[in-house]
Amino acid sequence: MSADMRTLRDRLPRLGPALLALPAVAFVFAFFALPMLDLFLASIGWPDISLASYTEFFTRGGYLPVLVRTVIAGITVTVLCFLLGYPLAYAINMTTGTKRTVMLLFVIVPYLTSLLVRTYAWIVMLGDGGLVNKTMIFIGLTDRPVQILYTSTAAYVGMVHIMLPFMVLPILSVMNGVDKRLIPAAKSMGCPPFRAFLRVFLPLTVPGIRSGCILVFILAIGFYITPAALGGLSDVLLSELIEIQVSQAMNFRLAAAAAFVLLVITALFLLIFGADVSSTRTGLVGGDTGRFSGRGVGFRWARSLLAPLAAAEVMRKRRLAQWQKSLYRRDPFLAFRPGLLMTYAVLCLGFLILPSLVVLVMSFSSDPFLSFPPSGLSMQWYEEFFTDPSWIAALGKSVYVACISTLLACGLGVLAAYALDRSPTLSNYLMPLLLTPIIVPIVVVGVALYGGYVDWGLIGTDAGLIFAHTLGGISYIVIIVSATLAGFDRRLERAALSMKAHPFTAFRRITLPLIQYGIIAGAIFAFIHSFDEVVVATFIGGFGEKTLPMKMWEDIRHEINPTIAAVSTLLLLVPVLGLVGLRLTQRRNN
Amino acid sequence: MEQDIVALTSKAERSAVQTMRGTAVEFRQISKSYGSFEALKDFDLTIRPGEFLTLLGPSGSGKTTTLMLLAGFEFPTSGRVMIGGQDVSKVPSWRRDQGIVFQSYSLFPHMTIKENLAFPLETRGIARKEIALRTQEALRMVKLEQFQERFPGQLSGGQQQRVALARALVADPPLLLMDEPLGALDKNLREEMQIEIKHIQERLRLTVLYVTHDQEEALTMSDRIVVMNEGKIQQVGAPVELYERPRTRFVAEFFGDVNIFLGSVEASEFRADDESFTIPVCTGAPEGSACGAVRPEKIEMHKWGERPAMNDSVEIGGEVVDVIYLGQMSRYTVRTAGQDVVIKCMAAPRTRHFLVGDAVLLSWQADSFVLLEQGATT
Repeated sequence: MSADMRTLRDRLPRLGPALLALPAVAFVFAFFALPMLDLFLASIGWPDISLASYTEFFTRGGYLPVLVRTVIAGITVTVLCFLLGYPLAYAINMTTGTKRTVMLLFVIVPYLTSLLVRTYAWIVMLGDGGLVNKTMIFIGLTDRPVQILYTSTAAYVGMVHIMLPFMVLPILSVMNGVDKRLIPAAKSMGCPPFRAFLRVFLPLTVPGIRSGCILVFILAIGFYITPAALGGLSDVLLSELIEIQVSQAMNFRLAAAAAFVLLVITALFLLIFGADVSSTRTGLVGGDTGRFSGRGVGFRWARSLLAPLAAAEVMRKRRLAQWQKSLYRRDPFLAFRPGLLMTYAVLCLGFLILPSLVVLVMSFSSDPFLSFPPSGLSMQWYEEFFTDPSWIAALGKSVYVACISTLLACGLGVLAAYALDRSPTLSNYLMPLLLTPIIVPIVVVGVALYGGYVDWGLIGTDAGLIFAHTLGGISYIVIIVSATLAGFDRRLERAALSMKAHPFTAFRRITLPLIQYGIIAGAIFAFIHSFDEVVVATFIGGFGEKTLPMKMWEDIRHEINPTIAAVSTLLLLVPVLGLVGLRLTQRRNN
Repeated sequence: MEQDIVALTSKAERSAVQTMRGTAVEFRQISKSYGSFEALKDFDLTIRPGEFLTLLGPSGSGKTTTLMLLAGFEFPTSGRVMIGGQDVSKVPSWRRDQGIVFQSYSLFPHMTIKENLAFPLETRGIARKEIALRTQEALRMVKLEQFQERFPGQLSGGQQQRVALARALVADPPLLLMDEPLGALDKNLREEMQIEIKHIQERLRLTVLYVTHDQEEALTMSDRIVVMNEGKIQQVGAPVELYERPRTRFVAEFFGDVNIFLGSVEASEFRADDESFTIPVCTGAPEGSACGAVRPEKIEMHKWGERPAMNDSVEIGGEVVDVIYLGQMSRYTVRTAGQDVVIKCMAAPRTRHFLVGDAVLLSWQADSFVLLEQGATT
């Protein structure tokens, strides 16, 4: 009996990888892959297989133009973000010290700020009584408010604003890894500065550009909240169409077909831009992305999702970068005048941060409606929030769901990441599966989970919400913990084993303490993912109690109530607290 | 008086005096393959209790695989690994009793030096009081008491190396494995550590398996050396044996400069292919084509026309074409009627200096000439 136990105890670690990844894989399979399969079957009208709904989608008036408009919007947003973001990343990359930290914060804080808050901020900014119209009237551009809100201009402004950090962070993380001595080397061979930039620096940052563009395009074509809130009725995007089909037209088959069309576009885009080029560039990329190079398809996918990782890592790498910078303090290859570039960067960062500041000011307004600047200050909207039981209940529910799903995701995700790190083969097959919940457009996830969870009676339940949010949480934790493990010296584990430590002891005493920074960073991302998530929650929330984002979204759509400004201001604390948390664990790690 | 001595001697030393701590190790017919690559082939080796044995070879020769098998990080494809008479072929590392010093030291960066040293004792379930005692003892042994509260990152390479050594020894293992432990140190520190490690090993009478690719290190420290190449043992022997009487060309060339002559054996006499000399070899040497080796420092060099003092077996005339000054000695290249010959002479006060272009006479004795085995000339 005891001999049996002993052999089991010895064998367990050797069976290792597959066994450790199993819980996460089973979870994602059950609560994500099955509903997705269900969705596909629904779209072809299982069990009577027909392509009727696809035919309807492509032939009936109105749908095809929406698809075309969605793709065009995706491309436009991607190009705009690149044009705005590359110089900004370049400017941040050449800055040092406190200035660099501040600039980074101006990118990372909006990145971590709730999507709803930022969308709401643009409603406040662009409305008739908003800052933009007031400014235009003040400087005499116009004498009465211009309609900006609820036009495609507003939708584009909002989408670019929200996507910009997703472009800047991956580019920045690659720029960080480019050897600074290459440009002086090129110049020493007689290459003029701007050509040196074009021939040496730009090509080396292509992997970052690709990551950024993939990320922005995929997010943009599945974008729901921002265009729905800011855009006009005439420019509906595909994601909105899907939502309408489910919630109003009750045409689930058509919604399923539309969702699959969206999914196919995403997959095609990933196949074309995400896969092939990267292999030829393997090894060129330093820093964070370098760790992902040459590890097969799974990691190529992961690379396009680097933004959260980059955010966490860029903060950590700051000191090294500073040292490198001090060697080349006077940026010798700057093609533009530094002043000009810096002015541009400041404007960009202003664009990123200003809406949140306006919301912050508005939350203290004494006016009964949204008007900038407020005529007086008061705490009335905070009082409103804290005395309204429905707001407090929503807050409580959000915190509860986010905490449980983060814990669940941590448990499953850390084990899976550890397993995938041990076996490259396993990683190649399972990494894509574990990451799909955050690659697939959120609207598609919403529809799929709605269809699946209806059958299982999970609609409107806490369990349903928790499961849905755990999916994305697992993805974030797997990405970040995998990257941390890639930097972990596995020989330390071996050393512990050689000292008669059981593999579990070695993991607990050596590995876990050394990767805890990654786990905590992953947990913070998982928490924020759940706490801010609104699209899936709206689909599967049913008539149950609302989470905070669900209630905000409802209020934004029905009555623009300044209470939301107070809620938003409180939500601005989330990324700030998150960053403080990251910083503290880092301090302890050092 | 006697009490004082006992008090002065540490516990580790006392126990070493009383018992032989080292254990015997045996590799029996080991093969290890990774896919189609055979890292070890028919590997047989016995390490005696208390012996310092070094595995020496170029990278890819299988020496690290051998260490990994003994450490329990890898398991043999076939054959058996025995420690202290017990078959441990399939016993994983954490169930074996041994200390390992890793090439990269592998100190736990999140633990202080003291905590690092306590770790192997904690995993063995030793009481806290004794852990404190033995940790202090180990720190004293490597003279790092004042650094115990520091983290590994705050120590120099040499200090980290000593911590790694102390950590491998703190739990009194009967077997110590060392994987190129001095590779990262500079030359002076390396030589200092070689002596220190050797002293500790002799005092504790540990069995040590040492892996290195540095032949000087192997010669300095080992009781016996195993020269490996392509997964096979080339030769096993004491340092002097390997240096003076290499069996194969690979071994001869692995330990520094050597002159290799191609020729043939006939009637107990080696005749160089270029007809420059003949030399008697031991009777029973297989007839036919052969090759032999002479170390550069075994060759005497005289000015042309001066008779050598002794009647050496071989005398060849030639001309100095290159001189390299090495400090302690000089290295000459002499062009003879046959091949170029390398000679090393000590720069002693009486030694004459030769210049490029000097006509010289080379000579050596029959026992300086080593006939090498055929067939293993890779």
